Amino acid sequence: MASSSRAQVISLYRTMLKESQKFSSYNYRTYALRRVRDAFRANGKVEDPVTVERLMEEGRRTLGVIQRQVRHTTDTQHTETRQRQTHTLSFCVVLGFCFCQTNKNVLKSLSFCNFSG
Amino acid sequence: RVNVYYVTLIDLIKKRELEKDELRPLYMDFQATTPMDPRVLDAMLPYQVNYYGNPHSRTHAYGWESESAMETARKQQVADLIGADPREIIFTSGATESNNMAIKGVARFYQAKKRHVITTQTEHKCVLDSCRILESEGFSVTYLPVRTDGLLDLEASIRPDTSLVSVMTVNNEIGVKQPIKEIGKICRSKGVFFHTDAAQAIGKIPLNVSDWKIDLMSISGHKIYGPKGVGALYVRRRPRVRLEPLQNGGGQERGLRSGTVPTPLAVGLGAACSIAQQEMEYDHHRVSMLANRLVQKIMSEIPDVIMNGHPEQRYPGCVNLSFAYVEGESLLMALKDVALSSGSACTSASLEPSYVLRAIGADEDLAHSSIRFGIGRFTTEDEVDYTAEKCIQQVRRLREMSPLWEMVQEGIDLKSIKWTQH
Repeated sequence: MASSSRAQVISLYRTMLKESQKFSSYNYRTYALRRVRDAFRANGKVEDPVTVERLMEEGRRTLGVIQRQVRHTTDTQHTETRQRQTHTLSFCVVLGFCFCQTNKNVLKSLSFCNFSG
Repeated sequence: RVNVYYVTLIDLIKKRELEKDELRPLYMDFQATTPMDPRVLDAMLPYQVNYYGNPHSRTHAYGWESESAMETARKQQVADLIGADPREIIFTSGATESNNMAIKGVARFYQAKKRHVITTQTEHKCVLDSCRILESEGFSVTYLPVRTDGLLDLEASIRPDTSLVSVMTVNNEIGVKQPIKEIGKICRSKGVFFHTDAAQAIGKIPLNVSDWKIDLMSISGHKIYGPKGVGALYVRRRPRVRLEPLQNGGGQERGLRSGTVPTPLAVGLGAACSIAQQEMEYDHHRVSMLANRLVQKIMSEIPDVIMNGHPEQRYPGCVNLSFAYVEGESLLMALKDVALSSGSACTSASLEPSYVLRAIGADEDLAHSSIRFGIGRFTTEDEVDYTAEKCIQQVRRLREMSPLWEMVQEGIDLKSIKWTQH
């Protein structure tokens, strides 16, 4: 089996960095970027095609891990909170607007919004 | 026009709420627990979702695949990391359970002839508490004192009726590494079982149970970037160590720890151990570099900072510094955007200074002003720099407010003051 060319190695490296950039957690993102960079740098001098192939396989496996974990560790809790907040706020807006229309008291509806949001 | 006004107002409110969510403190408490490595989570997920069989079910594929995963974790991963045979590894619910099993199990099994147990004053609470229970059952326990650098002298305390010596490898509060190899040799020559709590050491420093003549070892999952709720106990088979089991039941785990082994957690522990073995050198180099950076930065900018524990015989990622004339709790509160602790997580609820610091002979006031910085695999240079700067800034601010500091600046020796009693 032909061993991976330099272009393929560089392409894998770029893809891994691009995927690592998508981690929403600061610590995971910085670790992935740093580790990928250091691993490719450390193995840069390897000549033996069998070893190169093995390392590339490992790299592709790790790329899979990164892609899956980026999806799984997206900050779902915070996203939910924001959505819930948006709902409450839009509800307040509607109420406030209706209130404003009937009473023409803009200040009162503004303070209503602030307390509920 | 009213619509537009509302839209801009909502945007402002949303922006303020979002900003509140994003600002979580920097995590610098890696001795308390560690975040899971994404690779560990990736290994565990299939066993939480699809391969959910009980590993002890012998009659169908669900059981077989779970068992195979559990055995891989046991053999290729945990056992390989410490140089043990896979039959010597027992999965437990954590290092606390492993410690309890080891100490109470061994002491109770050999209680007919041997009624003495030796441990140190700087052990983890679970070890000390287990020994206390043994004392109430009629055993005699020696709590060895440690020197000011945290290392200890053992030989004199071993008696003919000693069954077990328990010394932790790396201390969780001051990071001191005990001379386990020498202690193992002494214990083997005297025919005493040697237990070590390696929760903080495993995966971080190279360990070999044969070289170091260890008979029992406790392993914790969540200290090595694995899941919480799992650990392991290494129990030597040659020469055989017998234990009285704490948890009885269906005879799983060689009868020493009955109960279904949680496959996803065991797989997670195995993955964490194998990753730790691969990454040990890289992590150690990086953690040492970051720890040096932190300590150099702090110590070069502010005077009267003491590092607790031996400067060389230590794990670099656990830095315990005492800031004289500053109270530990107020410094922790001042550093509110860095997650730190003074002393260990399990003693953080009480107001007393850490017993470990007292055992190494630190002055009462210095024991109160100690902070433990934990550095790990995911710490960045920016986090370390920020922590150091904030620490320097806050220590200076707190010292400005301190009357003791004022007195010291004027040249008064605080120890010579006679505080009047009302």
